[in-house]
Parts: sequence; C-alpha cells; structure tokens
Amino acid sequence: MTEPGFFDRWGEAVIAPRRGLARADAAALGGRPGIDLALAVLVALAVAHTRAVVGAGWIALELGPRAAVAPLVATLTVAATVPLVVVAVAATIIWLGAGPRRELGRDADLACVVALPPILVAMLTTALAGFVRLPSGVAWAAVAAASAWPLAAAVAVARRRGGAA
Amino acid sequence: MKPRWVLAPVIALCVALNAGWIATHLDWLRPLVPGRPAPDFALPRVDGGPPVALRDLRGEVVVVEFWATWCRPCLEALPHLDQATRRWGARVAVLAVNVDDRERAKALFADAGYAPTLLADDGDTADRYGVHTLPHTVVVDASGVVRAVTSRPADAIAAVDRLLARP
Repeated sequence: MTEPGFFDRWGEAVIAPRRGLARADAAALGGRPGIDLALAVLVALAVAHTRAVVGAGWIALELGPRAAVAPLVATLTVAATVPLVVVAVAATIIWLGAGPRRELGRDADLACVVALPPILVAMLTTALAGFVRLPSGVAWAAVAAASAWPLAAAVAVARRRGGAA
Repeated sequence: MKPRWVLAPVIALCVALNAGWIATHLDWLRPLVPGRPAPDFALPRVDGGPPVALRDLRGEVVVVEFWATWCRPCLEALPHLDQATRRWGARVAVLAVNVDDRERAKALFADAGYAPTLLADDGDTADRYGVHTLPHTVVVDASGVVRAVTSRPADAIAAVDRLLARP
C-alpha cells in the first residue's frame, strides 16, 4: 500500500484519526507530523486568511516589501495561534495520559495530528468572520470540540504504544 | 473515497467566501497612505456619550490614535498626546480608539484626566485603518484626506503642527 500524501494524511486525521495517529506514532516517521502541521498552517494562511495576505501584498506593492512585513507577521501569528495552542495542550494531556509509555517526542507528534482537524475548523470560522461576527468563545469552543475525539484517540494510541493492541 | 476529499468542501467554501469578501470590500484592503480619503467610521464613546463619526468632524484636523491598555508604547505616548490636545484646543479633534478593554481604558483616562476623546473600536475600523502594530496614529486634514500614518505619535504631533502652520 502506498504511503498517503499530505492532504490524505490531513483528511485521515479528520475522518479516521486512529489510523492517522497510529501512523504518526510509528517511530520511523518521527517529525513528519510537525511538517504536516506547518504545511497545514500555510494552507490555512493561503485559503482562510486570503484577505490579510492580499492586503499585505497590496501594501508591499504600494509602500515596499518592508512595510508588508508587520501585517504578514501579524497574519501568520493569527493563523498559527490555534494549532500551537492545541499542540501545547494536547501534547501535555497525551504525555500525562500515556502513563509509563510516555515519550515526549512521539507524544508531540501525536499532538500535531490532533491539531489538524481544529485547523480546518479555524479556517472555516476565519473565513466566516468577514460575514458573521462570531464571539471568540464560540470559535474556541468549536476548536475544542474538533480536538476532543482525536485527543482521546491519541491518548489511547500512546497508552498502547509498544504493547499488545 | 480518498481522505483528502473531506478537505475539499471546507477549502472550497473558504476560497469562495474570501473571494466574495475581497470582491465586495476592495476599499478595505487598499493601503491607507497619505493623500487618500480617510475611511469613514462612527465609533461609540467609552463614556456612553453619542458616537463620534469622522464625517461630522469635516473642517477640523483629526488625529485617530489606535491603542491598547496592554501596549506600553501606547501608554507612554498618551501623556504627550494629551499635552498636544490641550495645546491645539478646538482646532484639532483627537480620538483615542481603544482596541482591547474599554473598562480599563475608561478607568485609565479617568485617573489621568486625559483630554483626547476616548472611543472603542467596533472590530472593523482598526482593520480598515490597517492597524497591525500599536500604537497606530493617523492624521486626517480638514478635508478628510489622510496626511500621515505612523506608529510614532511624536511624528503625528509634528504632522498636525505642520498642518496648523499652513496659511
């Protein structure tokens, strides 16, 4: 069976998180979930934060590239906030929940997979924000809901690590 | 079905929403540079008075200062802006637009007795004025045209002095 590509791994994290998490937990693939997470943030930047990126591009054209740095950094910060918060919280919970089988690096890899579905939710709430004023609490609640099931699955994967399934 | 296809509707919806927004809000994306008309706004006063609309201030020089209570450079700039406001008197309308915590901003202004008019951002105005860093100060002349956009309130004060010195 061929190894799934980036978009398939992202989709798998949404519809079949256990499979995606088991794949990410394989030691031979250590580090790849982090790259997937970074790629997903870039996709979110392009697809959901398009307005800000276009605005920054316009500033670069009219005022020069240096003037566009601040808006671009601000946009990247916004796009990266949800995944970084989810990864930090999820990695802590997985590490605590894994018990004696905890391994910080692999727990962090699992946390990166847990953050992929919330990025999709954050993309949607960001794109909707131009039309509907969503309270930040609602957006964060949606992110938390999208993280819950993958996080539970990640803890289960970490607890079974190295033992009989 | 390949797992990637579950992403397609979300990505397509985001692209469509953004394309629609950009097509209908090009003015919002246009960089705010000197020489362009200042985008209009009507912002609520933090003290509960009537909202302040930019178009109602036509004929006066207007300073719009975006600031936040957590922003140290903003807090350091406020006394200078206050002094300038008192020196300019009725010739210049100085609007301090708070973008974070209106209650803390109100208390801060009450404690210090600052003269600028304290307004609360509505979530859109700061975007339209291209606020990416704080403080962010925009000077608008009496005809409603932007004359300075700066992150250094001292530059804004100098720009207003230059405008007032014109015959």
